[in-house]
Amino acid sequence: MTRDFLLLLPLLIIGAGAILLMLRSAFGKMALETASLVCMCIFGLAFIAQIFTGTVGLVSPFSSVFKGMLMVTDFTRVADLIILACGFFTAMSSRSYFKENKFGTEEYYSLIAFATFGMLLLTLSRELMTAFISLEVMSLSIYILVGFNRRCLTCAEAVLKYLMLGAFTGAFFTMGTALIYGGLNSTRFEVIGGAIAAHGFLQSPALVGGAFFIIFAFLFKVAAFPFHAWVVDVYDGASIPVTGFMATALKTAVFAIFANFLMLDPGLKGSWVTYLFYISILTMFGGNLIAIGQSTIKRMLAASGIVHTGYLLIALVAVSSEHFSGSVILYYLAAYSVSTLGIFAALSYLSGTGETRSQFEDFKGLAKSRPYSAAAITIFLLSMAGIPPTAGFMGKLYVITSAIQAGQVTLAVLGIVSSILSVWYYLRLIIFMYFHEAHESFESECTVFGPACTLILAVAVFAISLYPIAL
Amino acid sequence: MEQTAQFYLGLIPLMPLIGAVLIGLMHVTTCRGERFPDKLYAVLACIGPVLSCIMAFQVFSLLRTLPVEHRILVHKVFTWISVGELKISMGFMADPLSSLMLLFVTFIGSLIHVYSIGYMADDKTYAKFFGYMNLFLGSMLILVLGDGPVVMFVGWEGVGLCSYLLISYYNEDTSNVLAGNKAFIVNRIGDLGFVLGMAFLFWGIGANGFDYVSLKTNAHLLPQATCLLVCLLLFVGATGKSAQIPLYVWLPDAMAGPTPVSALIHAATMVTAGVYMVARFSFLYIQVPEAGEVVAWIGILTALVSAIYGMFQDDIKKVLAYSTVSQLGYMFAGVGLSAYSAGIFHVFTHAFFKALLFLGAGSVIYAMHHEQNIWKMGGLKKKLPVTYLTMLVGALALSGCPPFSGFFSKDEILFSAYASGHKEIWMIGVLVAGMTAYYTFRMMFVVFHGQPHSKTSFDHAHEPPPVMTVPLVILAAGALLAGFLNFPELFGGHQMVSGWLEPSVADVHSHAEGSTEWMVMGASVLAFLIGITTAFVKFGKGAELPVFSGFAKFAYNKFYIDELYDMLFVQPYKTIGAIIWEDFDPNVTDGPRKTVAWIYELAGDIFRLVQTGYVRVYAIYMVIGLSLISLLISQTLN
Amino acid sequence: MFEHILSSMIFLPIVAGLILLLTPVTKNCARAIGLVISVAVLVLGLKLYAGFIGNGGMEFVEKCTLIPSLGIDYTLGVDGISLLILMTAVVLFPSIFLIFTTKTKGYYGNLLIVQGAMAGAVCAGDLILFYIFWEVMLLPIFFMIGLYGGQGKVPATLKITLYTIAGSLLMLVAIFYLGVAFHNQFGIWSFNIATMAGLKLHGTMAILAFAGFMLAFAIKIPLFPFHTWLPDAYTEGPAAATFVLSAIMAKIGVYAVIRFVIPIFGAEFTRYALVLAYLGVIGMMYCGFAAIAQKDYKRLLAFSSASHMGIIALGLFCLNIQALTGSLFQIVAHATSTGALFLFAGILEERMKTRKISDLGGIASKAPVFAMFFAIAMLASVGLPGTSGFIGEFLIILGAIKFNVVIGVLAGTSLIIGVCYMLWMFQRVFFEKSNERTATFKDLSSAEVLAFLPILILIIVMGIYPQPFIQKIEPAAKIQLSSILHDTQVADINALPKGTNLEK
Repeated sequence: MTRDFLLLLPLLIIGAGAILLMLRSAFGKMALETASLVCMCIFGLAFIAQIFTGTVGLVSPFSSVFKGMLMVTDFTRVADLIILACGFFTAMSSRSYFKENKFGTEEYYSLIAFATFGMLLLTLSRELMTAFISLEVMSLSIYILVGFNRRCLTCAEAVLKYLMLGAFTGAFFTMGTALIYGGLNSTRFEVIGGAIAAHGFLQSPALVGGAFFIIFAFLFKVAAFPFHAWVVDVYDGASIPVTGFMATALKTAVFAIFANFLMLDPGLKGSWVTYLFYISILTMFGGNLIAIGQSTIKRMLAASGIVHTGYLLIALVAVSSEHFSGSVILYYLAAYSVSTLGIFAALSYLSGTGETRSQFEDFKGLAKSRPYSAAAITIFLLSMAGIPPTAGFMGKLYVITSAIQAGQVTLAVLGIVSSILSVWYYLRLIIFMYFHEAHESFESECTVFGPACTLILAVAVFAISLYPIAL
Repeated sequence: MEQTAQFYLGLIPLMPLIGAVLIGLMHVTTCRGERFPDKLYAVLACIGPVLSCIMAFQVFSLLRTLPVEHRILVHKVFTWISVGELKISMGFMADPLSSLMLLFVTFIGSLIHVYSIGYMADDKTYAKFFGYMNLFLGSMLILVLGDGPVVMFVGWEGVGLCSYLLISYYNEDTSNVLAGNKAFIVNRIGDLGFVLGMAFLFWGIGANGFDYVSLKTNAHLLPQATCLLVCLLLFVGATGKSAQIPLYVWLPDAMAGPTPVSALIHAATMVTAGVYMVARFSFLYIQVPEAGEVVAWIGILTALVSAIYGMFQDDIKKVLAYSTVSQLGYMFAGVGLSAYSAGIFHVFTHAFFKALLFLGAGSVIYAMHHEQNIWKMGGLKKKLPVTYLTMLVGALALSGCPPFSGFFSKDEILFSAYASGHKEIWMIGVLVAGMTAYYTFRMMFVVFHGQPHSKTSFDHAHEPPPVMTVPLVILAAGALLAGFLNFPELFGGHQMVSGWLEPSVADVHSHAEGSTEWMVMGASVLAFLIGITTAFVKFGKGAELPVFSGFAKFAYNKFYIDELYDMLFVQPYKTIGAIIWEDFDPNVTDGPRKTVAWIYELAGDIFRLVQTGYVRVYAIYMVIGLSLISLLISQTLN
Repeated sequence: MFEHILSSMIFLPIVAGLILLLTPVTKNCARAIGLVISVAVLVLGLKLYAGFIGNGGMEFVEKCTLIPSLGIDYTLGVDGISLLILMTAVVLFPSIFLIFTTKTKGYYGNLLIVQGAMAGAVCAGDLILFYIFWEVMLLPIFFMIGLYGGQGKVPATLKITLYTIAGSLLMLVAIFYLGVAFHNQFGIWSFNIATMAGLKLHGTMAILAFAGFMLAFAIKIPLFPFHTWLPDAYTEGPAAATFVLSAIMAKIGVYAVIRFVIPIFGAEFTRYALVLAYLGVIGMMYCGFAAIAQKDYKRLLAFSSASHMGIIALGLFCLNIQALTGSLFQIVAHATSTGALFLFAGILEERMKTRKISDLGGIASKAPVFAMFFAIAMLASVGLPGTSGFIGEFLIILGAIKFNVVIGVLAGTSLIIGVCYMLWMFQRVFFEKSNERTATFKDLSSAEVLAFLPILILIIVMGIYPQPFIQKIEPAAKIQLSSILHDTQVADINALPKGTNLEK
């Protein structure tokens, strides 16, 4: 009983915190700083709680109440940890972001909390309706966050695109759910899994169709080819911390549920491997080719986000659906999230009021005036490019080895080739930061939080790369 | 006694080298500040050569005491290179052949060092010069004493380096440096032959010992074809070092160096290394007569060609240079026809009279304040009596006038050519003898007889100091008497040199009855007389600068060989380099990389276009993707 | 500290370098630290050298598990070959800090990091560990060229980095493949090179993996036609970076072929040896010819370096002990001579503010010491007997002749090609009349002389008495060879001389 409660504690903390923040901001103004602090505390608490839930096998908390709609596994625990960390650092960097950009309100933080709540729920959910609800909770708050800066036109455009296409996917998801329910008159994962195990995946067309739509919804959320197109514009439009949050936490959550769903049964995965194979290749190369064309950092990062989705798909293809432990996926997600968040944290206090510094050119000579920030960004970029001894390298190591182990040598080679291509645009930024003369001194009256956040994450890059050694 | 002698073997090359290092260090440390007095350098420089000369005599006399078949001293200092079956030790070997070379190399070397003290006075970098000279002598001694091909090669390249350094000694002047480069590069071409020769020899029979002794014992194991290849390749090396066709072109230019250098390196010692090497490998050449034929023919043709050049030169040193080339040709003719002792004997005598002539020319030039054009001299006989007389001895020896040393050695070569049935070679030889006499005395007459051409320089001319003249006299004595060392049986002599060299070179004695020998001798004497009289008739009263035309002009310009080589080798080399660098490397070699980069950029641009920013377009992408995959799935279903 | 001598040789410089980069210290302090550290490493290195037995096996082994789940170990160790390269680096490094006195702390910091990384790459006994050091090695060079390079530094940086990373990432796949293959064969994970040698690989996958490794190393060496990054990088890079690249990093490429390719891909190696040997010799001639066309002395040296690397690479592929030992010896010889030449070039560039050969002349009369030092290094690089350059070149040519006569003869031409452009440059830079630019050339300071003296002494000593070095190399080389030539072959080649064969 208490254990079940403990398992859900992080979820509860976040939920409660979100509502509390919302109410507090409704009545009487509270200083933005305090709000961010509170938000950070909430995330911190939830994180600690999550750590202390201890290791568990397959446990469904309050099974009497939820009828196993929720399921806590080691996989979800780690995923949740990542999500919570993302939330925490987003809150942290937002604080110094709003020093420069004056459109921040307390609701912003509560929305982040709500979004996180949705994500956590999504990772836990073992039932399609629950999944849909949490997906929507997450998405709605993200929509608002994207369009949070009401004065900015690009934000409005971005949120519109995201909303419309998001609506599509919502429709797909419900459609899929309906089909599956029609086929098996249940939406619970284990039932679906059982059914597939019993008479194979391809036996019931309804199941095939349902799975088809649902997987597409996921692919859209993680921005896999050919559902990637929105990412660049939306990331570009959204304000920096939000972009960071989307790029990391959201992707983690969706991949968690994606994996959970796909690993229901070998039959399901087996029938999808071929498609995922091609999708991942297209995603990687498509992302790269989009990335090289970009002239603003945010768009480049968005595109590189697509590429990393490609790698994660490789991992999905590679992991065995028997004794499934998503450690490879989670490790890669952690590595990727840290470096991405890091860059966005740095940008959040470097890009100036109204994000005036967005082009590569704008960061010429950053190393001269702000050596440490430049160094941090370099570390993040190297980690994304997968250069040792960063976390990104270890992530690639796991992904590629597991791919080869699963006999997907072609995929492994192509993955490496695409990372060769990706080196170019990462280096480009480094070159601009280091090898050109400075045009301006990157002064900004930001708080200590942004830089601190960057620093922590920079350290984390190495910490994570050393983590496997600690095991 | 024998131990000490062996010990000497190591020390002999070491002495000059120590001198070189010492002088070099002193020079380098002081070249910026206060310099040491030149006298000090002079003394230091001469110690080394003199000491090794003394030790050389010691070794020589020891060898004399040993029984003929045991006349060989080997001293292995340390293991130099040992990889797999390749085992080379830094070893030195004295046998009759090398000890003979040793004698006159150290002896003449010392003399020339002494001479240089006077000649190089008032030179800015006195120390540098002597450093190089010592270094040269050291390398030359390694070359001579080396107990195997590889050690020999060390000296071989060492002398090449020194000759480069000394030719481009006055390096302010580009032409000198170019001459130096030419010498080094041409020598390197020869060295390539040497190295390849060594390599083939090694894989042939080098596996159980790569020194002369074991090679000699295993020589019979070498397949005929390999043997021929090795001999020819080694000979390529020899042509480089000893300025034979086709690699002789560097020697005349080498006269850009100071005159003592020309005397020591480019006349007496280094250039004869090739002959020495062929004699060293006589145990191979004896197996393949064809190789010998080639050597002989190359040699005699070189002799001819360079004699022709010599007849039209107007630079005193150039005349001597070409005479050197032509004499070297004789030597190769000798060793080629496996009359090794004759060849080496000519090396020996030539060392004396050619060094003498050069030093003489040196003192003339010294007297004329570095004027080298013979047409600007004339009538110096009165001004420089000692020089004149000594040079006269040298000239007579060179042009083979009995009983001067040159006569005996040259005659022996010609005789063995005749006796071994190579009549053509013999005839050319005689012809060349005549020409030699002609151009030598042409030079003598023009320089010393007749009227002085430039009054001013004539008046200033004066006999050089004794430090320069004394060596001249000594050498003159040598040039006069050295011939008697190998006094032919014909005159009741018993060829000491040939007898001495017997154990170390595989000589082939081609005997003929006395009458032929008289005939041969007579022929060469006749040629000499004709040559000298023509010279006298034309230039006896002194002569004006002639204007060349027709063949003379052609010969005056050395048959345009230099230009030809430049056109055939140098220019193509440069053009290929330019093509590779300017066109090939950026476009072809780097092409794939560039193409990939280009494709990458292009694809990037395309994708940027695809990224329209219209939400409807994005929706269309989704739908297309959706429908495609659903299509595929439906395929798998049924 | 001494029981983990290798680790300390690796991480002492790296840590110091990071500290330099991250803390605000003054230039001089940074240089002092650099000097002290590099000297300390030198001391350690000498201790290592003294304690080295040299029976062909691995010594000073350090081993601890990093990632058990993938069997990735932290394994260090040196045999004759790695010791050789390690010592070369260790001996050469202090001189940089003595010569370049006016640089920023970043310059010195990066140098230290690259030193440590290279030591790591040479000592690593585990493929992943090696790869990590291999990549880390590149980063400081990237920054040094980009930050302190000449006019065209940015494109040059991009070219070298992308080229090298492309190569090494393909190697990474190959490494992973090996790991997985090993796991499939023996059921355990390991990337340890020693155990990896037991791996049996066949068919296309083997060839592809081999290609992956060879490509990475061929780019690093660089082997024709993968050399196109070299001229730009060497020319635009600051003197120290060029020095490091040419003197040591290129050698690590060669080393890696011996250490990783030969034991694992013996069959493929022997199969493609001829092709690779041709690439090597072609590269030698190609770059040699290109060198003569250069107007820029640094670029000329760059091409000459590439040309020599061609010969060294050739030595690897000749499959006999003479050539292999020769090219290992030549690694050191070339490191000292060409390294010194690039340092001299750096000094020239700093004092004359030009890289054009035509702007110079007559330096020999102005700076005799400088000229003499340069000449010695130059003569070593053209392989004059009595200098270190000759021994290696001779052995390689010897071996090449045995391997294939055509290749041998072509290799021989390096005697000529090298000397042509070198003398040509020496003439125009040091001889002839001095102009107003060179008239004021300052000769080497005593500190610089002190810095160069060890290098020059090494050049001479190795030329006159090479046997001690060869003794350290040969056993290890023999072992590597026997791993491909199946012992017997090597044995009878070395035992029975040709002559006795003919007798039978």
